[in-house]
Amino acid sequence: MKQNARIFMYRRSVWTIGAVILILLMIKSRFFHPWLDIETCRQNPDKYDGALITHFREPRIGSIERDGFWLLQKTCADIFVRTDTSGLRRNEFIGLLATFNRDSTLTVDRLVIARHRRYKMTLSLIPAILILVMLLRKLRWNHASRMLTWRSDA
Amino acid sequence: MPDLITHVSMAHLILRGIDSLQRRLSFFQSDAIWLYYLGTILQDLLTRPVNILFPSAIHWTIFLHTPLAMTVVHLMLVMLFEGSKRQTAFLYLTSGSAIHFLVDALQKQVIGNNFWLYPLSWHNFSLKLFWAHEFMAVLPYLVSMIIVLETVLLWRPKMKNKIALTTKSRH
Repeated sequence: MKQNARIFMYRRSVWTIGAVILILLMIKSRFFHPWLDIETCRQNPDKYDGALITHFREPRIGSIERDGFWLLQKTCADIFVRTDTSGLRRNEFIGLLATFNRDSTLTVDRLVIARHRRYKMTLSLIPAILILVMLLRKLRWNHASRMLTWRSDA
Repeated sequence: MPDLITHVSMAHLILRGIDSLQRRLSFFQSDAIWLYYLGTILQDLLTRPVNILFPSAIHWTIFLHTPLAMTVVHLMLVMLFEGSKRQTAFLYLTSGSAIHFLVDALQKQVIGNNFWLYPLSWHNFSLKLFWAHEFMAVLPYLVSMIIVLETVLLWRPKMKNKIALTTKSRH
C-alpha cells in the first residue's frame, strides 16, 4: 500500500514536470517562432512590404487569372498571388513561399503542388486505426495496480 | 511529411532488418511491438488532425513534432505502465519516434518541420531527397515488399518442418 502510494506520487511528479516542460515548449513555439503570418502583414502592409511569408493555413488554389491566382486558406481571407499560372489547377493544395507586397498581394518565391494530399490524408487513417486497435487488444489494464501491462514479451 | 503508411512500412522494414541480424528472441514476439509502431506515428497523430481542422493552431502544435517534446510525451506515457515494463515501453516508443524523424528528414520541403534542436534552434534538418507526393509513388512497392517478406517469413518455419518430416520418413 505504502509502495503503491510512492509509485503514484512518482507518476504524478513525472506528469507534472512533463506538463510544465510541454507548456513551456508550446509557449516558445507560439510566441517566439520566426515565421510571419499573412494576417500580421495585412494589419501593417507598409511595415511588412517585401517580407517573406512561409506559413499558410492549409493553402489551396482558388480561381486562376492571367497573372496569378487567388489563394484560399482556412480561417483567413483570400489573397491574390502573382505568378505564372501554367500547370496550376483550381482546388489543389500547395506548398508556398511568397513575398508580401504593400498592396496586400503576394509574389511567389517558390510554389510546389502538394499532389495526392487528400489520398495521403485518407490512407494515413488506415495505420492509425490499425495501431490503435492493436494497442487496445494487446495492452491490459491491471485493476489491482491501476497500471497498463502487456502479456507476452520477447 | 510522408503518409503514415510509409512511416509504418519503413519502420517495419528497419526493425525486420535488425531482427534478422540479432540472435536473441524476435522483437516481434512481444506485444510491446505495437508501441514501436505507435512511436512512428504519434507525433503526426498529435499534430496533424489539429492542424487540418484548425490551421491557425499550427504554431501551438508544431513543438510536438520535435524530438525533445516527443521524449517528454513518451516519458509521460510510460508512466501508465507497470514499473517493470516502463523501460521497454520507452525504448520501443523512442526508437519508433527516431525512425519517424529520420524518414521525415528524407523529404524536400518548402518550409521545414524537422526541428531536431528545438527549443535551441529552428534549424530544419532535411536531406531533400523526395517530395512528399513522391513517397506515394513508392508506397505500392513498399507495401508489396512487406507482404512478400511477411509471407515468406510466415511460411519458412512450416516449410522447414515439412522438409524435416519428409526426410525423417524416408530414413
